[in-house]
Amino acid sequence: MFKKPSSLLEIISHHTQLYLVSMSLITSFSAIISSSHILSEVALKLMLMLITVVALRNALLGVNHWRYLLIILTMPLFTIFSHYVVSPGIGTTDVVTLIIMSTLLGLYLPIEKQSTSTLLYGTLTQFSACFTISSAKTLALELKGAYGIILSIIISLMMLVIGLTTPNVLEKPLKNVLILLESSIPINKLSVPRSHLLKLDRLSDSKRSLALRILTRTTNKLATQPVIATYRACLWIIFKSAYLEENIIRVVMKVSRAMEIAERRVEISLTYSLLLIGLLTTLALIVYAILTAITR
Amino acid sequence: MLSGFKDLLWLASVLKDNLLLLVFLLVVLGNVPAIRGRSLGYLLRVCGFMLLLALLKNLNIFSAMLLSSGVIISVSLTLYTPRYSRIKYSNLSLVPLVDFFALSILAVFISSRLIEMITFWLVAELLGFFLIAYDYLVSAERTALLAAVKYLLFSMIPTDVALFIILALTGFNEAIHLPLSEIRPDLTSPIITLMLLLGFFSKAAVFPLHFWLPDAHSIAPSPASALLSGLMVKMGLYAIYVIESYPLDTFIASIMMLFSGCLTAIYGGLQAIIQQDIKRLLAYSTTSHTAAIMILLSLYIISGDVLFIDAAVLYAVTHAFFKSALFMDSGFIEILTRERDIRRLGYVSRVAATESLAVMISVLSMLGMPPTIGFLAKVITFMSISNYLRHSWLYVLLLLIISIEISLSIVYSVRYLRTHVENTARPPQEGLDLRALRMTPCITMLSATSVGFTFIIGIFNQVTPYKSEIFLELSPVLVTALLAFAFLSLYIHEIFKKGSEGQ
Amino acid sequence: MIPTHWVIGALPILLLLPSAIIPLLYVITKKVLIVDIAALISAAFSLAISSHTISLVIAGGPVTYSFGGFLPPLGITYIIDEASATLGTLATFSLLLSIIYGSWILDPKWRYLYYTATFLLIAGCVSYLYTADIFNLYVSAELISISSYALASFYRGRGIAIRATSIYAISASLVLSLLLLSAFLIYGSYGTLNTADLALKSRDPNAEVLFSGTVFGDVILASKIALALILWVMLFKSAIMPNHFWLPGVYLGAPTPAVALFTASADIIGIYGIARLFLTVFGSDVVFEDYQRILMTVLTFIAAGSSLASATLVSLQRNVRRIVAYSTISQFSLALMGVTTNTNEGVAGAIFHLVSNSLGDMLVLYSAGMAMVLCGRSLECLSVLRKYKVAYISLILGFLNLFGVIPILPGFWSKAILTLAFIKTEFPAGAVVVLASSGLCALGYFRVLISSLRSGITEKKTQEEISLTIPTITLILLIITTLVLGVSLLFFEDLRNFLVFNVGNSMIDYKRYVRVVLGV
Repeated sequence: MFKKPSSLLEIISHHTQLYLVSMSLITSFSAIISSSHILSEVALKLMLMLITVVALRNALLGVNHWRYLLIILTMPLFTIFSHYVVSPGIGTTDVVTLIIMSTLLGLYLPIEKQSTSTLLYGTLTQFSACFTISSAKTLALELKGAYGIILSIIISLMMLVIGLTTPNVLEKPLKNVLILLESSIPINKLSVPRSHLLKLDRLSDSKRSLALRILTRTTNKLATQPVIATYRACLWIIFKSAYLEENIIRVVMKVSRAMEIAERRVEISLTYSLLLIGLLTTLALIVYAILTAITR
Repeated sequence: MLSGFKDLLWLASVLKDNLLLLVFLLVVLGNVPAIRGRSLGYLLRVCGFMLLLALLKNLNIFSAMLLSSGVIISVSLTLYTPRYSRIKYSNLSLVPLVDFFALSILAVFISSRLIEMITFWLVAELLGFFLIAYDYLVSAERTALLAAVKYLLFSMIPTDVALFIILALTGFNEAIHLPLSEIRPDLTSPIITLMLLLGFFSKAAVFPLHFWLPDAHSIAPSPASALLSGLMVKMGLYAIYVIESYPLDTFIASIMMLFSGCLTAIYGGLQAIIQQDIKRLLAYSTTSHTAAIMILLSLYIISGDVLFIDAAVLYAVTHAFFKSALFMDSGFIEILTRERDIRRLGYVSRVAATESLAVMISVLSMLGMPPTIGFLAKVITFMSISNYLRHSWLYVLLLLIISIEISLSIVYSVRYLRTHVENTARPPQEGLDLRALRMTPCITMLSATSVGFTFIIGIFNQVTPYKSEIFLELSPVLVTALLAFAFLSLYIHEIFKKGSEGQ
Repeated sequence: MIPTHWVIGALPILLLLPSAIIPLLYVITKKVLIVDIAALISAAFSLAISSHTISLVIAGGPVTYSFGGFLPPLGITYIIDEASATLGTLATFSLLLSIIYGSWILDPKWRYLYYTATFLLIAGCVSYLYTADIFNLYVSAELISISSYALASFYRGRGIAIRATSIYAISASLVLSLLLLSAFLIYGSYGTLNTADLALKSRDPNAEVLFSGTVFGDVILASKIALALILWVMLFKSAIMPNHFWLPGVYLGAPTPAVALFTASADIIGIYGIARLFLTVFGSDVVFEDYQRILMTVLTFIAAGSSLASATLVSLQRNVRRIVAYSTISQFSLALMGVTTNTNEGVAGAIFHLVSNSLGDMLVLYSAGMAMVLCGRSLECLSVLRKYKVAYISLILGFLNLFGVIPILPGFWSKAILTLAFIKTEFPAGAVVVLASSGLCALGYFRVLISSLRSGITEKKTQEEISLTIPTITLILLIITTLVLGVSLLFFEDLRNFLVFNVGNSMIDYKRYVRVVLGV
């Protein structure tokens, strides 16, 4: 009963990703061949769009929800890295950046080993992303033509290898952290599927020794507590400011009503005080006149 | 006596130069109660708005782009509003309000003299007030009145201060006779710059005067929200663009714009994520996007590179298109399901396939899918900032903030899309009001335009040389993208149709 | 050379005579129509004369008239410059409209008393605006006050009116006696009552003028005390907070045409008095200039606070009259802020603001008066006006004018000129106050407009029972005047220059004032 919609979305996202992969490959090739920085920028954007579509798919389909969270949290950093890498010059920082980016790409764009077609498709996707980055780097190094293409392919293959191997190590810990993060947010404020809560319980029910369990729990807590605390603080600020914004009008109205009440009181007191001032002034002037008349 | 005659000649020239009077007459005729809901009325109004495009050649790039996108949005709204209004309010009195509101905002963009800009601006604000309070007018909803009061106090008053100060500094005679490009108000005093920017910040809804917008835009009727978010906040940005060409205290201006822009971009995105009401979500996302555009405008002040203006204006046009389309969609959902809470929606794609497709295209446009205009906007934004990455850490920081804003936009667009595509959602027992499907063509037209607009831009002749070079290089890519995208969307539509029939 | 024109001297007579003749006519003939026509003709004539004075002033500069041929400072002189001509025309115009409208709305049995009181009021007002003699100023002010007591308590059966009038009468008499006291102080020290003479001697105490010689006693102490007293009086007369407490009650209880008349004549005299006495007579370059500056600064803050506070109160009101009352207080405070800037633009903006405020108030009051007759006094009753297009348009136009954001309406221009004044004196906070108060007032205006836009009330009296031609004519006249004024300011540079440079200058340029009156 519920399969049809999800398969619809899957098909759509599959085709959109294919479209973006092919566009980015074409654009990166043209960028190297025509030595156009503009086209390499376009290719970078296409790659970022590809990652975005992957995130969208994971979010809307509800599978591998943690991948969506990972993309959201690390994409700004990834964007900065990608723009840093494509700047001219090469050094150790570039190498480190490239390694980190390949790892991230491996985590973003997984390769499903269900069948040969999915395997090929996944590899192609990752390769196109790596090729975009490497071609932009090659362009920045001012290498053109055939040499450029060959160098780009070599770098992208290296990146692909890194992207295939390192994520295996990082996937499980990252998954745990992200799931914990998600569960610490109040459920009714964000739409987190309840299935992830169950996964968490299963985690704590694992049949490992007590010591190991305590160790994993403590390391998890140490890693995640500060992040959770920041999350909670951000949420508190947001809700507080939303409350203030909605209530500012009530404050203005209260002030106006207070002024109205004060004004009514002033009306009566001013009338009487004016009478009093008038009376006193007249008396004072009369006394003054008499005094000056006497002393003249 | 002689100067009085000269003034009369000036008046005649104003009327002749501006097609505005003719457009106004057409829209008035199209709104005559007898024909308001009939095809003749539609035709007259659409002709009226399209006629404004004839004025494109005299404008600078910012106003030209905003005018053309504004005309397209107004045309789709003038077709959308009668249907919306008839279903929701059982009469058509919303239509002339929306039409004249759109017309006055467009008139701000085409005004050549300061006095025209101020007049139309103030008229637009007044009409905006009555549109926000519309629900109070027809059904005594107190929330609408409170939202309108907030709008009056925190958006209209600061903007009026800014406009009157510019008018005073320009001098009445110069404001009335000289075009905007020739007046030279001296805005270098820091206090004056501060007050002007605060006024325009309140219009564009960035910190600290941003909090009127979520209430106002979510409570107004959907066509009005589309115009308010799509076009009216751009007026504030346009005004900042206009005063950037006058002597200004650049230090204060850039600090204020950067600080407010960065803060609001992230704050707006975060607030949008936690909203349950679809219209409030869209409203908060508007503040986030206008803040990003403001960051680009401030970078123009700092660096003087006109590519930032191109980036800002493309971003503004993108936002105008997709925000109006999404607000129109929220109106569609409101009528279809009588529901605005995301948690209780999710089945819309099963009922209205084309609508979901249009929304999907709009969301992808916002995220930057080629060949939509959002793609061009993102490319030029990133290109313009990355040109300067080596100059200063500021650009790195701003790139980071814009990327964070994009990440947040992914999150809330996912939330919005959940109203259309959610695995576990079922339509309610009471059934749905399928009259809403009449509004789909307007929304689809708007989404389709956001794809085609990329190519329309090439026709503009006021483009900077740098940018047309970009366009020439990009054109093969864009054409290929367009063809592939066309095939893709037709295919997706078939799939959606099959999916909804299969239910 | 002192140019004299007999029309100016005729004006007070023309205004005093009807107040005597009309009751006689009514007692003799018992026909209301004759009384109406007589009042109408007299009002029309006085409007014609005061318009003529404007043309005289534009053509040849300020005009003077010495009563009895006695040269100043011996006799009483009238001097009409651009500012007083404008305000005088405003007063007579509102007189005409008030009489036309009053002939429709008021009970025929007591209408002649109304006419009597209004002619006395405007006679006092015109005399106050034109005079160059401080004691005559006091006498005119007293005349204005007494007539306004009569007008405020016109509906003697209504408790609100009687209470308001009692408070007003007692406070005003007390406060005006302070004006008399200050006149005495000035006479005792300066030895003269002529304002031009005072303007001369406050700057140069050793100056010698024919008939009055040099100063008599210690001018500095006396001027300081007198100025302080006059300040208090003028703040009261123009209902600036906190001396505003009499105004809402009076506006609530008086008849509609009387309230409209007040906003254009009786209540503007305070602002005019401050402008004339604090800028022309005891203005810049006086021997006690530091004191004068302190007073001006204090005034600015009082005016700013009053403006914002009363604007906040506007939004809470549930009654059209009270909205008009508090909005009027707010606008008068804004005009006062313009005056305290001591610049051309400030004074021009202030005077024009008084004009546009009274036009707006009249539009609102007269259309709300129609709704009151047709339906009742509550806010929902305004929705009956939807059937009568002219009244509806005038209500909307009136509020838009008061809000002041449409350049074809005069309210926009007065605000623009005031903002110009504040920018020129490097006081941008003033511009913020102006626009913030207008915005806050607009809350109240829009609440009224929104109540009137919603339907549901049926009227108690239909058009067949009451003829609505007369109020419609009044409203049409008002709409035409407002639109013509606003549009001409937009399109005619000469008019704007006249406003800013001539009208504004007339208060600032004390040398011209002295020269025209005394020939010195």
